[in-house]
Amino acid sequence: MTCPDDLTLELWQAEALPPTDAYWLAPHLLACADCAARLDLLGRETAALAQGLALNGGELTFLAELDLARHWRPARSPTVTIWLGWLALVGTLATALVWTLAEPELTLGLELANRVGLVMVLLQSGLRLAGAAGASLLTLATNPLLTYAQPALVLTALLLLFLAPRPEPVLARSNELNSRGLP
Amino acid sequence: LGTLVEQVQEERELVRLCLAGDETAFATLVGRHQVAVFGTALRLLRDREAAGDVANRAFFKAYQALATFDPDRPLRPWLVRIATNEALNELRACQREASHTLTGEATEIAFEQLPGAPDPADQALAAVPAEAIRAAVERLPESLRIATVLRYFADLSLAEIGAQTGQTANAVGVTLLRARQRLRRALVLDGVNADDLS
Repeated sequence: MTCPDDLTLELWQAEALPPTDAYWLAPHLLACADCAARLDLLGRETAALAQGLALNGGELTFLAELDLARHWRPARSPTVTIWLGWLALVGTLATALVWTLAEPELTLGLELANRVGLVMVLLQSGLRLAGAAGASLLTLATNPLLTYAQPALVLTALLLLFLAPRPEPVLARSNELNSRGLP
Repeated sequence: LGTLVEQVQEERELVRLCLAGDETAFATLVGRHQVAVFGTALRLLRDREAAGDVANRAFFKAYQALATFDPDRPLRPWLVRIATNEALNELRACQREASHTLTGEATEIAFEQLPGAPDPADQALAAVPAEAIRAAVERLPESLRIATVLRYFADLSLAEIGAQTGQTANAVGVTLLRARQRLRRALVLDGVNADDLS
């Protein structure tokens, strides 16, 4: 067998030679002193290239200072965002429940708050809450890490709250019947 | 081999935790592969700050695309591939290539017509200091530099490099052979003589 060309040796060294070619080449490489020397040089060149390209001390220090393990992440934690999604869903459902059961008491509470000047404070708080909820929903909707299930859940809950016919409050109905003297 | 298998299994578990939203698991993966990702970007861009930005971007993109990653395959080549793409985008955007790289036919002819130069094949690249090799690699044309960095720095197989560059393993072998010949010639032009150094 004649000595292989440089490309064949390159592929042999990179273990990229087809198995049949490698099978025929192996005995020659063991027997041929010239090829053994060429392979040895190739191996030393490969080692020299790997050593030449390896990060040096200054580069490793620079990398350590970058602290990529801490700084790769986006500003908002996706884990927190996931919990915000569930929080929004639970909050929405809880609000709907409270609204359904206790509207008269809330109305009385608002009248009392109006008398002592707390309505504006409550309105401002409400607006901030709505803004925060909107921002969370937007983050959820645009975050590619999340499945579509959670934003869909939250949006469904909101749609139910605003579009579905509001159930008559239990206590309000009871009060109305009492005021009419009906059982 | 046992340790390698354990590492692969551990990495697979870390990927699964990442997909479940565990950021600390991804931070562990970043710690493990940051040298390969940052180093690949650095050797392609030749700029530490830019390489740092690219590595950061590459890890974030990897995190975003983790659901598309096949956990039965090794993670490092996938991360290196993302980093390489990011680095090449950065290179093209900044157009640094023109001022740093000896490219084009004129350079090829200059190498070929070098009068009285010793046969490059006789130059033992193996005996040249690391700094000279790094400088010579930095001046390689882009296609040769990519293959050289991915093979000799990132330790990717020819098939993995081919997947990155759109070549067959054989074609990558040819590219590496050409890169090696270029490096030998470049070192001769730089006055680095293996006989003088040894």
